[in-house]
Amino acid sequence: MDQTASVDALVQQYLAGSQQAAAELLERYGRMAYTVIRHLIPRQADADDVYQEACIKAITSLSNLQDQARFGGWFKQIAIRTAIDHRRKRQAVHTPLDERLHDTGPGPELSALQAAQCRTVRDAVAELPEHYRQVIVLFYWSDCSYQEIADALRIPKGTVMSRLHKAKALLQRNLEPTGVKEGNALWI
Amino acid sequence: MDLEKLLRESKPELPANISQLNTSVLAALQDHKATPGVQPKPAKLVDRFFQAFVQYPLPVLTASSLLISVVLLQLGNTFGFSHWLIQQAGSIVFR
Repeated sequence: MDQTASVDALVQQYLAGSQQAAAELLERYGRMAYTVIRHLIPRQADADDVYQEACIKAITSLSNLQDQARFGGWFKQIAIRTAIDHRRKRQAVHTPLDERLHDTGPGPELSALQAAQCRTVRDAVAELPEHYRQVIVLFYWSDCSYQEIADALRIPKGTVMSRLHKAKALLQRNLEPTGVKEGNALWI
Repeated sequence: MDLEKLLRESKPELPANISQLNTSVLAALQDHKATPGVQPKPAKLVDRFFQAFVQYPLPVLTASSLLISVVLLQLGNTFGFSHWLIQQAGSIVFR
């Protein structure tokens, strides 16, 4: 498979029956989609299932994609929707403590204090109501634009902006008692 | 407190074995291509009963006995059980 092939060429090749093209598409965009899903679904086993479901949805409905060069954004939307549907089915309003993100932690360049600060911020995000948590996670951690979030959540762009504003206000209020501050002098 | 900066700094790094997941996805896609649009059939009632019986024999037997008793009692209530039984026997004998 030509690794320099354009996205629309890969989509065309898949539609013509090339399994390799699907593999290349997943190779290029899989990590991005998985990251988005994993931020929305902290439990890894569930995130793995949702990722596979989103990939199959995206690849099998490629014929519906009008602007094939926009595969990346389209795939991201499918990933977000699949993850949110999954959470809705589980009726998880809040992320329970055992569902918080278990990442590899900060790199060696971060001090212990910074690591503690990161954990506090992540816990505070996990405590947010679902609709606030979604926009924070998608905007700050999954690098989605306002428009991408609006499209994925099927809400107006203005609602995304107002939810982000309210979510940040709530986060700020929740973080103040913890003494978390920007920079290295983190704890009061 | 610059919350935006804090949030960006707190972005979790999430390791994943994407290659392995992608392999599973591609295998599922192959299956989908082989049988497009085919949904897995729901298990038949008899199969479900058998599976349940193997897994929980005692509760299933109890539930089945109760169900049969209820049906028989209902029949008895509706027709008069002895009358119904005699009719059945008669229909067999005089057929």
